[in-house]
Amino acid sequence: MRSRFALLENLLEEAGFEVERVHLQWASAAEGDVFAEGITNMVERIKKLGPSPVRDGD
Amino acid sequence: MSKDEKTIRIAPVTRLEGHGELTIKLTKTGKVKDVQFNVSSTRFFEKFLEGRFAEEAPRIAPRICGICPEPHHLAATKAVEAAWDITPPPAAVKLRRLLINAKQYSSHALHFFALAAPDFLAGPFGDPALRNVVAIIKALPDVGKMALEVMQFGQELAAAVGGKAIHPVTSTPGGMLNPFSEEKRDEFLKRSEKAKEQTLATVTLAKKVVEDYWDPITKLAVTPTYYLGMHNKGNLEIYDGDLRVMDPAGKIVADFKPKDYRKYYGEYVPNHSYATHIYYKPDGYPKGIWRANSLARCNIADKMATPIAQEALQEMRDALGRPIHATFAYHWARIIELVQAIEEIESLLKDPDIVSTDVKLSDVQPKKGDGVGCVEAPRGTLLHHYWTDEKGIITKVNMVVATNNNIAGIEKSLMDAARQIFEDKAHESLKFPDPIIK
Amino acid sequence: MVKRIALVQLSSCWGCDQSLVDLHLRLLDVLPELDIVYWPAVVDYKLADLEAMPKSSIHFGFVEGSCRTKEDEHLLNVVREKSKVLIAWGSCSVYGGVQGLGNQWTIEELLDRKFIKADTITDPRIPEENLPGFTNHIRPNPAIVPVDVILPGCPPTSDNTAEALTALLTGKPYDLPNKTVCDQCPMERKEKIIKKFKRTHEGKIEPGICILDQGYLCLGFATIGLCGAQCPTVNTPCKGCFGPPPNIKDHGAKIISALGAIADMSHEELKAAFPDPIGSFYFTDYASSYLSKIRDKQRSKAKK
Repeated sequence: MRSRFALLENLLEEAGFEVERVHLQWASAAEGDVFAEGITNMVERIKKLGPSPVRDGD
Repeated sequence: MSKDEKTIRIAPVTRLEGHGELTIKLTKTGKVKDVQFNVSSTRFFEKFLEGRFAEEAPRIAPRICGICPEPHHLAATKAVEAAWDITPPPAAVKLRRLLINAKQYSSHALHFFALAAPDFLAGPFGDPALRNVVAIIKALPDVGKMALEVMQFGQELAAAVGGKAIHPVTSTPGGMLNPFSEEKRDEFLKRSEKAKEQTLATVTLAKKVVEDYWDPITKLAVTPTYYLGMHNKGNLEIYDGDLRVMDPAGKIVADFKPKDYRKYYGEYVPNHSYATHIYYKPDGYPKGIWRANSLARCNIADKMATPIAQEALQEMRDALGRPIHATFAYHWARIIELVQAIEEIESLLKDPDIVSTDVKLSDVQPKKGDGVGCVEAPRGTLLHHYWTDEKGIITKVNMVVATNNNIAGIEKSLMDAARQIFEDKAHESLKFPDPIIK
Repeated sequence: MVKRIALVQLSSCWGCDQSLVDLHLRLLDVLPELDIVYWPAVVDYKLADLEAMPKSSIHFGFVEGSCRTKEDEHLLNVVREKSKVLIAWGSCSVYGGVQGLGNQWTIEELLDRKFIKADTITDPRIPEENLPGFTNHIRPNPAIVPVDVILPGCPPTSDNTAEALTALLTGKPYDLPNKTVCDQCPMERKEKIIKKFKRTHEGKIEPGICILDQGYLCLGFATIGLCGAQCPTVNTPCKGCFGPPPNIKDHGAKIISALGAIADMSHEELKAAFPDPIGSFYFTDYASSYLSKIRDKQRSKAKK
């Protein structure tokens, strides 16, 4: 996994994109629709779950 | 443009590889005011080669031209070898010579039969629907078949050495990635006998065309220019040699190693063409405008490198002198070069080194530097200049591609032809033969 | 029935046309079936003749090259209008081609290098008279007009073009095979674990053994199998010039994904091995990549 991202970092840099800002978005582009759907689902799931029970803890 | 001026636009120029239009401006009294050869595209290889591994340039650069990728493949290789101080094994050089001659052979045949011959066989006043190689094949099937076989020989030989004919791949810094097999050598040596016969038949055909069109050849667009070409100790050379510049009076004004080109090459950017105008820098623009390609090479060379071609060159010089400025003599010179190509091919195929397996250095180190790779493409002197960093990555490129050397000269000869046709009505007084294809 | 055919060249090298000519004697079988109504390299009809043709009056429009100039865009639109079936012929036409690598820079930067800064230039200027002007960014032809058939290749082999032409002439569909170059490659393959990548000029490529297994970047595994593995057959790594197999949207991304899996190296070593991922992984199809498209949008917005 890290190897793949390492090469992606090279690619982003060469194509003139700021690696930090675009990093997360790019991880979704490599897996295309699947990842985008996954993130949407995750956000919906988290909203349904509400605030984390350990939030007020440490 | 004032009201009574007339602009004639020919769009596109046909039987040309690439994008070119002509703009001819006439005054109200019918005088030719201006002729522009508008080359209307370019793809910026010089920029997008930056950042690439230099050893990949021989794979990328051939995409400049699908008719002459072999010269680009080899010029790119030579430029990297020059930058990294590499000398490939001698057998690899012979393979490269075989590759470039195979391409010279098929390209010159393609030009003569498909691009040029339609004008001569259908005639300049012929129906456009008949002025093409398809009509030639229909009307003269034996000539058509021979043309296809001649081209096939060159292309298949190029593929056998280069991996594929269109965008060859086997030349790399340090040598060749693949040796030439004995089986292929035997096959092509056998086939070269027929190819040579067909070449001589093509010479006979070309001489008939020259005879029939003698009047226009000697009178239309006889344009004095400088000439640029490669030679090896005075012999016409297309793989590796020094460059000569000849002035319009026939004097050799420069004889130099390609790496010193910047002293002699000036590049003028016209406002009306994406292809720039190259000229002999010491004499300025537009005086120093030079032409390259077959006639130029035949002008600057003392002689051809092979015997039958040399006889043919002597015949042309006996008829037209030296230097020859007649633009239509380019076709004749091209056929003379076709003969040299098949003679070189035959000689290389007979050389036992051509099947050597010692064709690549195993230790090739990139280094920071720059190098010039220069060969003759069918259309003229081709020069690649690369700069690389210590990792062998290209940082800068300058290229003067073959056709570039001819753009200004083409425009000059068109100006002459336009004046002769529009002002002197030469097309009415010149003697043309009866067309063969009607 | 003789079919009307147009062969149009945008900005390209003419390699696809040369490949057609390289049918050699087989041309004698094909030509009688065709009425060539536009092919400037070979036939004397002019652009005005093409523009004057009725809509959809040409059976097959073959388009080679990609849109580097505004004239290319015009020509592409004209031939689309006049053709019943439009074929994107060659990797330039399908994916943008090698000139798509130019998308790494702005058009101003490209013009500057060629017309202003080049070493031999004595009178710098950007030519503008009687010339079409350039596009800011190369977009692949299928993104500009609807295309009916795609035939990638750099160039497509003579057999590829003959096959496509035969299918079209007999009214059969022409589909790209779901194969890679490996399916056509004669080399002996082992399990893929690369400990070190070598550049093409390094060491010696041994004949008969998978070139990728030997540590050279051979992209056959991720490249459509149409060419007969011409390059590996002569001991040369595949550069992926025919583009990806069908249904892969971004060639280079797929290659990076796969390399990540087979490279048994630290990620620092892997980064050091490929300082030019655009050149290494997107030879003829950078213009079709996600990043190039994002860049295109950014530049278009900036210009407004």
